[in-house]
Amino acid sequence: MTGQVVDRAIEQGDAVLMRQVAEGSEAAFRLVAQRHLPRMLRLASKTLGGSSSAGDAEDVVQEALVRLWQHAGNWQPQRGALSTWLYTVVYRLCVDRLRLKPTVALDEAIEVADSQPHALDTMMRAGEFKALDTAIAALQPRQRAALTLFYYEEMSGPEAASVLGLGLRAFWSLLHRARQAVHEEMKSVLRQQAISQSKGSMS
Amino acid sequence: MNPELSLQAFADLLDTYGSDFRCWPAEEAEAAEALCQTSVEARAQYDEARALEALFRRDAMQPIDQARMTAILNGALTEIAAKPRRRAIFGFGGFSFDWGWLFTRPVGAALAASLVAGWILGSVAPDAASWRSASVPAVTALLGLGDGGGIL
Repeated sequence: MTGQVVDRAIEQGDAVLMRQVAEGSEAAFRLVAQRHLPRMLRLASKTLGGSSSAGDAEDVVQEALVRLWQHAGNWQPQRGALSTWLYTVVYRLCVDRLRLKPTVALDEAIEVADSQPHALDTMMRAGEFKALDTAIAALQPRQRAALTLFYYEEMSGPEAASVLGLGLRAFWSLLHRARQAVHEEMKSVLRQQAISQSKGSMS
Repeated sequence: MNPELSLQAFADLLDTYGSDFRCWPAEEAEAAEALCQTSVEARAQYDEARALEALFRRDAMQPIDQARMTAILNGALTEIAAKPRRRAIFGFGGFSFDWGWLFTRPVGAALAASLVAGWILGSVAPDAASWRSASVPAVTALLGLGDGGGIL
């Protein structure tokens, strides 16, 4: 079964479940929530970044689920996948939350290399995921969201652009800057991994 | 092959479209594949890009704590129970209006209100010519500058 077939089956399931949610079925709501919650939480955690507590991401997802219940009757499957709609709600809630924090400037470029501890040092302390988290957290919120939607949630460029409310060209540009910054920060780690990968493929 | 594809351009394209050449514009993809076969530096950049994507994939596969997800879902259900769905204010013929957007979209509500007000004023006001001819003498009379032309 290809990924696209699986996605279509999930979308069809979403349409049926959402009709039941609109009619007030808590069981259907639980199923929809359990299906999408892990991805919603990951998007919220990554987009809010290191400046926010884990509780912030949880609050965002909880609020998004409440909106899912409140507006279940308004969702139309022909206008797009439920996941896209949910990601859009989560992203907007994250942006609202970040705007309330005076220390975080939404569109301000953050100097990655100078202000953060070096990724390799971080990795030595707490592993490669911690280093990656640090590198991603140093990005702008929109860059973090673009990276998460494209690489973690495996959305296509046009889908991710629509979640972020961007044109496709602007999205590619945003993704380019995000990936470049993470790549730069993780260079030492990646070089080591690339060498060991190519050694592995040669032997 | 596109001879214009420099190492820097190759690195930029890798950062934009990733290491899967199928996602690249066709012409650049062809040039990039050729460059990888001839340039050690290009190959090293390509391997780094793949290592980064593998890291993203491994990170994405990290499990999320089940207890955390249950707590979020239960929190949402508690909030839902305390805040029931907004009901339509009125409806007719099996069709009901959802007025919730009036509260969540204040700019849209203001625009809609001004359109309705304009429509009502346009429907009940006298035609423009008589309105104009009546209003000028009325204003001059109110300001004490004339006798109102017999209007007041």
